[in-house]
Amino acid sequence: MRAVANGDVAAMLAHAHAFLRQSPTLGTAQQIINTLPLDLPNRAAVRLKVAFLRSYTVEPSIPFLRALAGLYGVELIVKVGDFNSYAQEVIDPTSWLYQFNPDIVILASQTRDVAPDLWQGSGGVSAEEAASVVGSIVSPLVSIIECLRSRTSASLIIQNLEQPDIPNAGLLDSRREIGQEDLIKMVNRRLSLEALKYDGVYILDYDALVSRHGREHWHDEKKWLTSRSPVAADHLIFAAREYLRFILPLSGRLSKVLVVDLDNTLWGGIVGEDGPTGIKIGPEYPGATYLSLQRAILKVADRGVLLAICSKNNPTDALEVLENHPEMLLRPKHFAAIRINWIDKAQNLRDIAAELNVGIDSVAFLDDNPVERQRIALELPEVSVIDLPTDPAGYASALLSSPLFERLTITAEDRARGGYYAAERERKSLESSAGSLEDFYRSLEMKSEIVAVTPGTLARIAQLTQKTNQLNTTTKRYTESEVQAMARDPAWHLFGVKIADKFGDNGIVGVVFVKIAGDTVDIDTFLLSCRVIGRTVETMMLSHVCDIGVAAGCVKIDGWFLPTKKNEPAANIYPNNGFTKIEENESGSLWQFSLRGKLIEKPEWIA
Amino acid sequence: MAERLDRVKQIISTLFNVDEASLTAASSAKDISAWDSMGQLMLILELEQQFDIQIPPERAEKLISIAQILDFVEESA
Repeated sequence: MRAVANGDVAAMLAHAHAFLRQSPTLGTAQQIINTLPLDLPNRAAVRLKVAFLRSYTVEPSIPFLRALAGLYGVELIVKVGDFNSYAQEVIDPTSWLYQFNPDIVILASQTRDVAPDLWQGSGGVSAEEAASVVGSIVSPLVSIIECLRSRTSASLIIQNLEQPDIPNAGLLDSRREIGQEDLIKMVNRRLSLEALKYDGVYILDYDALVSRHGREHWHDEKKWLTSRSPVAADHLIFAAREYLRFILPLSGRLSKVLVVDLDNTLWGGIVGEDGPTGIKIGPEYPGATYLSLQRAILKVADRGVLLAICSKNNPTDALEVLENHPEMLLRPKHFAAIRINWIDKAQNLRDIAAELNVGIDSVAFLDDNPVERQRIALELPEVSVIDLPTDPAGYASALLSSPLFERLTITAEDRARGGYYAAERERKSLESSAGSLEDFYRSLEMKSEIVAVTPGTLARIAQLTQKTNQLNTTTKRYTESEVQAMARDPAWHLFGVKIADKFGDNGIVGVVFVKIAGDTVDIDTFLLSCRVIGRTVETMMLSHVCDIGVAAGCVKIDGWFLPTKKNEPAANIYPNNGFTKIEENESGSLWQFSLRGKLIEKPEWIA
Repeated sequence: MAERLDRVKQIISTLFNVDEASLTAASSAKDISAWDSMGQLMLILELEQQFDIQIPPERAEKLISIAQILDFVEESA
């Protein structure tokens, strides 16, 4: 793969994300720390010092934390205190803690260490006793908060108390007015209320974290007993991710704008092909998965994140759905910027950032298409590309679990900002310009194959003439038997084009039917699936038409563009490839290419 | 055998950020500064995941050279 703008760093970054997802081990994390450059060409790393005060072995989760933070351009310098020494470390003004002068202090303690009596006891106390138990556990923690607040401006993250796997009294715990589990809940509630009284003090809900991942799987009893390391090896990364949810917003490395795709992201299907009534969106599966993503997007917007659209589509079709489809939750008013056009998404993202007056590193990109995600990751490594699973049912949770949209404070102004931009937009025109794309094309590693009409390809070729609306110059529909008859006629040349790229085989995505009439190649049908739109496949197909014409002794190629409501994207295929308009009437325009001069060449990036 | 040696070397090299070419079967905790008691814990966690094995605590504390690790991995295989 040829190095792209920003080159290797971008490729390494994209690779590191995937590597850590596929093999979430300490070795992977350490390898990322050892090798990943933290500074991007247009974005310097943020450096933060993190101090762990702790009652247990937190060290195994730290390589994960440093690697994950590194992927977001945050360099962490981490120091860890002695076991169960945090009270002294906080009280002693000469301790390592203050010499280290951390930006963030994390208090990582366990119920069994902070509240051994509660951990070992069986609950069963009266309301008065409960108040005293809660006070005796929370007060020392409040003293630590006060002492830290008076001596440092570091942010303080305090883990709350986890519940035992099974309460000591078993089922009887629930038969008591205040049992062990009730007491732990009361302690946690009180701790949360105390933290609210101070600036920069946050509670990490450790109990919720453990239960989210399953209490039995979270713990490794043997490692606890031998090394005071309670978290099972395959869950260490989740502990690190939880710390990151706090650290990222504290670092200021957050996404202010979420840019979303439309087709197969906000709804299932392609509106340009399936029509506004054919797309999948609504309460029933599979439309429900897209509705659930729309809900997740609204939750993110409610935290003050601006929304924008970047979609390769016919604006009329897409806006029809956004404005009028009864099942849509997201409407144009939710979006601060809208780019619905056929140009390169990297350029659109730059424009959106400029229009909304945010840095490109504040932009996050949500798109179902791995080719588009790859394109952005390589071209704009500063943009946060949301990694999506292949199954759309996982889209919503992929979005909501991203630390990029976490906020520790929110103002009413933050929430209102989205609507303000939507109003502003009314006055601005949507302008667009294409960027240089050659590196992107090369990175796709496209391979093409010309296929004839055979029993194996007939059904697909006929089907493409039936259902392709957008990149279709003449929109002529043919049945399988019609295609077969034309294929037998020696005057006709029919072919399909298969395209494979580094992401997989797309199968047959293009169809061309031409007829030799004297010295002219007449293009009857020239179409492309929108899956390969904007990838110069049409140029490759026209170069093959040139070959056919030359072999048949023709001197020119004629092709009609017959406009429909849907096929505007095809309008530029002929002019962009050197054809000249020689005729125009009410049904369309006729374009001609001379075979006597320089022929159309297959793009060098398509093998 | 040679393949396992390479994997163990690679794990040690990555985890403790030392040059893989400098490692031999005889390399041990005393030669590598990052291979301290906490390094030992991380090494055991990584070996258990990479080779899909369980290392009993009484053995874990004795795996302090590449040769000793290799012996254990061989006998567990």
